[in-house]
Amino acid sequence: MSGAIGFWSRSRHFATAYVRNLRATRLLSAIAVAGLAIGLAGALMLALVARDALGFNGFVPDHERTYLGISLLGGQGTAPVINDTTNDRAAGIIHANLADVEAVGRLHEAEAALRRNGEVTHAKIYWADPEIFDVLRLPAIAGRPKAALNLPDGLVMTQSEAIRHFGRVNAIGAVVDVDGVPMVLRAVIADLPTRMTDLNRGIFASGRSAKSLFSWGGDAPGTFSIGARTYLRLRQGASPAAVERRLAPLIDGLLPAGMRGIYAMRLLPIGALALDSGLHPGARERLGVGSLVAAFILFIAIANYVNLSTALSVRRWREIGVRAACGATRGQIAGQFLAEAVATVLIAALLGAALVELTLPSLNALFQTQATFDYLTHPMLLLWLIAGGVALGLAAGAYPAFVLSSLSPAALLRDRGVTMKGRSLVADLLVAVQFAILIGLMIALAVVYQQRHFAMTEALRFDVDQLLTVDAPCPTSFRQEVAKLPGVLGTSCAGRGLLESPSFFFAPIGNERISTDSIPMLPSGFVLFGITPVAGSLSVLPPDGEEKNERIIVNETAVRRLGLGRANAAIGKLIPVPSDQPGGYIRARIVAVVPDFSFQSVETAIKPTIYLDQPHDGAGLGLVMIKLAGRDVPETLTAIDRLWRKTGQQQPIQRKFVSDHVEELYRNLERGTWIFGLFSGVAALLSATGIAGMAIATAERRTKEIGIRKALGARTDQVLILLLARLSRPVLWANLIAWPCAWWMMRNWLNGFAYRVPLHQWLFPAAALVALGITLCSAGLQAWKVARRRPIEALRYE
Amino acid sequence: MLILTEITKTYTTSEVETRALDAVSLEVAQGEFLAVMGPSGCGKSTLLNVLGLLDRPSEGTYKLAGTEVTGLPSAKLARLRGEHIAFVFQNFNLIDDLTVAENVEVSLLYRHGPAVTKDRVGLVLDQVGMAHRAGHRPQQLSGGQQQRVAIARALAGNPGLILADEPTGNLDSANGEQVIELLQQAAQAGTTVIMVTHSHRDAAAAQRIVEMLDGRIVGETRL
Repeated sequence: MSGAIGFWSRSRHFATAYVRNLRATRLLSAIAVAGLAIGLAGALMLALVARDALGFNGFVPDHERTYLGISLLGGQGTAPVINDTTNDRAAGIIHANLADVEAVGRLHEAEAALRRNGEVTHAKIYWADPEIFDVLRLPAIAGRPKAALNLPDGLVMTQSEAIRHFGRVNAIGAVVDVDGVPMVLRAVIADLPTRMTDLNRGIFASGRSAKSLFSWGGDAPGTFSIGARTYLRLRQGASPAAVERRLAPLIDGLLPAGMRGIYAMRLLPIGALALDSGLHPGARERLGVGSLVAAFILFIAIANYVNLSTALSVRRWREIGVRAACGATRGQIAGQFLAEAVATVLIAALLGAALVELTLPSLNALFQTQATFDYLTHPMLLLWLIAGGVALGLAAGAYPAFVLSSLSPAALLRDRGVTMKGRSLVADLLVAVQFAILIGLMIALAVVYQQRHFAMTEALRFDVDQLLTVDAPCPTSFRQEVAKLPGVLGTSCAGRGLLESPSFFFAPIGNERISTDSIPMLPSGFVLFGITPVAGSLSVLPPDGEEKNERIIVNETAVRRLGLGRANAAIGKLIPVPSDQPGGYIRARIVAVVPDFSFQSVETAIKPTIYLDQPHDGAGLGLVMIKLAGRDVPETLTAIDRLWRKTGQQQPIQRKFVSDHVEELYRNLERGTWIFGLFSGVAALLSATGIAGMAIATAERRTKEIGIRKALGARTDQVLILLLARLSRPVLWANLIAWPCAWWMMRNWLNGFAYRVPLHQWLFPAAALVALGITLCSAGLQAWKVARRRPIEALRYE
Repeated sequence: MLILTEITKTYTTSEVETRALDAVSLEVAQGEFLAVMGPSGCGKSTLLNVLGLLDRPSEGTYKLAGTEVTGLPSAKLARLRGEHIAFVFQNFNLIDDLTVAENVEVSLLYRHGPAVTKDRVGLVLDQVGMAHRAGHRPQQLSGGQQQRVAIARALAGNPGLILADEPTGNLDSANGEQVIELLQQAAQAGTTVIMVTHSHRDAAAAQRIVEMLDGRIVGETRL
């Protein structure tokens, strides 16, 4: 725009007009800006979380054709168990047989004692093939990483680890004992980005060392184990599916007969590891739900801004008229309002960024994310924020700018009300969608809360109150002493699989192999949980376990899945359970059938389970379970700790309430409750301000009508009802959008749980009532003020 | 300065057609001070809107400073408005959020042509006797003062045509006289002034009075 006065004077003029208008409408402007700031903060936070997941392993050269070998284990009719390690021998077979694979190398995770100058530190390390640095070509700072690992005493560290252990980066040649064997630092690589890679250890010890897990000599005949992280890079243009197909028969050749058809090795792009549904169940869905909720909040904030700014623009009609009279074109007027919208969104973006900076640590803690707002190290982030703010400003400002620039200047200058064409419809539509989102979020919140409550109470099917576990393989003296404490009702022992992932086997029943969990637990354990058998008896089993597992307890699902008929009929029947011999089975007799119960999440169906009369897992792992009386708990816990030391236990006591374990199990649901709770609150706040904005606009538009009605004898309450009925209309429409969408989404969500609450119908009208309540509260005051006006004030306009 | 030929303006709402201007022809010379009189609803304001390029006639032609404007696109009309026309309103139409000086500055923002110095604002405010109030907001001024600021805004861009819609309608007689004087001075300086008024006293200050009734020009008096 060329003009009679200079660019800076013009800019100053428009900036002044903008700032003074903001100041004059400070309350509603502050609400609009705060809403935008919250919406933008939510979107920014999600973008920061998504950045880590979507850019996973992006720093690895050729990451798009680099893969991690994963294992799939699954019998018929059960979802496969997925593990991110494979058999030790897979890498050698791939190297020897698959020409499409450019490089392959393995890592083995381990904990090692590092001794230097008499000081011992325990560190998480990788035993690594030299070829791993062919696959993952990580930049070296000193030395040659592959050559370093070619030597049995070779050690490669990231620069942070080198500094931690040797005090400097360039410590090439320094020696440290790894599990008692001297090893030499021969190369240093750059630090690995935290959170953005599965490589979470910074020490790579040569896999050729005698201490390496690769040197154990592999599986015994008839057995097959997994544990190596096998990375491979395909040649340019090679198809991973074709490589997997050629790999399948080679891997089958390693399997014992009983595992064929159950085990498969697959390739997963290293960029997709963070969001793989098998390795990280729910991660993709959480990101999806998070994105959706953030988009919803952003939409509500923008809709709010559009409605409020259009409503507030009434006070600028004269200004628009004067500018048009002074020669401003429609484009110039629209440009002014667009620029103001962009400025407002940029202010909101600044506030949103500050909000992210302030709340990120607590939100990271709450949602267990590790997002960072590192705009100083990543200035592109700031540029994106500004670009996003400008784009959003243009989008948010487009409608008000279009409406305002199309008003007739002649009418504006006459000081009479003008009609903004379509304004009412657009405002209604925006409010309807806002409230639809709010109603949807409230329904989601209620369903997630109900499901969490159900999972932690009814779905447990047994009594976890005052139940304590101590990590130990059932030390007899400790258990006996604890049982004598006055605050203890009883004790028992079980394998760790009871709380964590239980070990499982494939029970050969007819032609089928049925995936069955196997949990060691003494019969007294069932008594502690308040579980009584539905058939058979626990008392036939020795209370402290038996040598051979010839008699077992099964759950009801096992009776059903293994085809044993009714619970009573199952007693005395024999079923195959794994024996001590590799790949072998013995036949064990069922002595009792117990109701289904599980310490696993309600997301997974309870599996057929056998309970072995054994006090622990056998490999030095186990749980002592202690049922407390519920009185004098702190004293009892202190006494238990004292007995732990008194009975000669070496390591510090690790004890935990089962209820805490259950809480942890449903942390995701708790997070879901928080997400929906937090954002429902924000949505409610923003929608309330949106409706308040609409109330102002409606009052302005209907001033004359209200005046006439009152002059003709309408009472204040009648006018109030008229106004509130008009304002509630879009909120009622909102249900038409919200109910089917919420029903469909929550139905699908609940279907992800094997055990779930029903989708209660009353939630829908209840959410609608809350939304209506919010409308009446937020618009009520404004409507009341207008309804009370004396008719003469309203009619003075004419 | 301007020639209107057979200008008609009709408003159609659903089935009712209202003829606000009915074959109005009018010629106004450069520097002339013309008063338009008539009862409420006779089409005075519509005529002013058409003259000010804020509204388009339904029929007829309108030549402003030698340019036929009836068929021009709205952006071009806005440009012509910025170059040639200024308004003075009964209700002053000053922007509440801006100071007196900033209100005057508005008329320079959209004006094309040679740059003017910032002194121009001070100059016109001085001309209307409001320089000492340059930093005040409109609400801090009396009605008469506000209208003088509005005249300063009209004068700032050196327009060829000032359209004044009942400029003394909201003022007492003393302030009204001052405003009429300012308009007379503008006309003497070569600006064409067309003023709609109900006041015979104000109209007497003009060089010519045009009488309107039912959208038509029904009489003309040269003073």
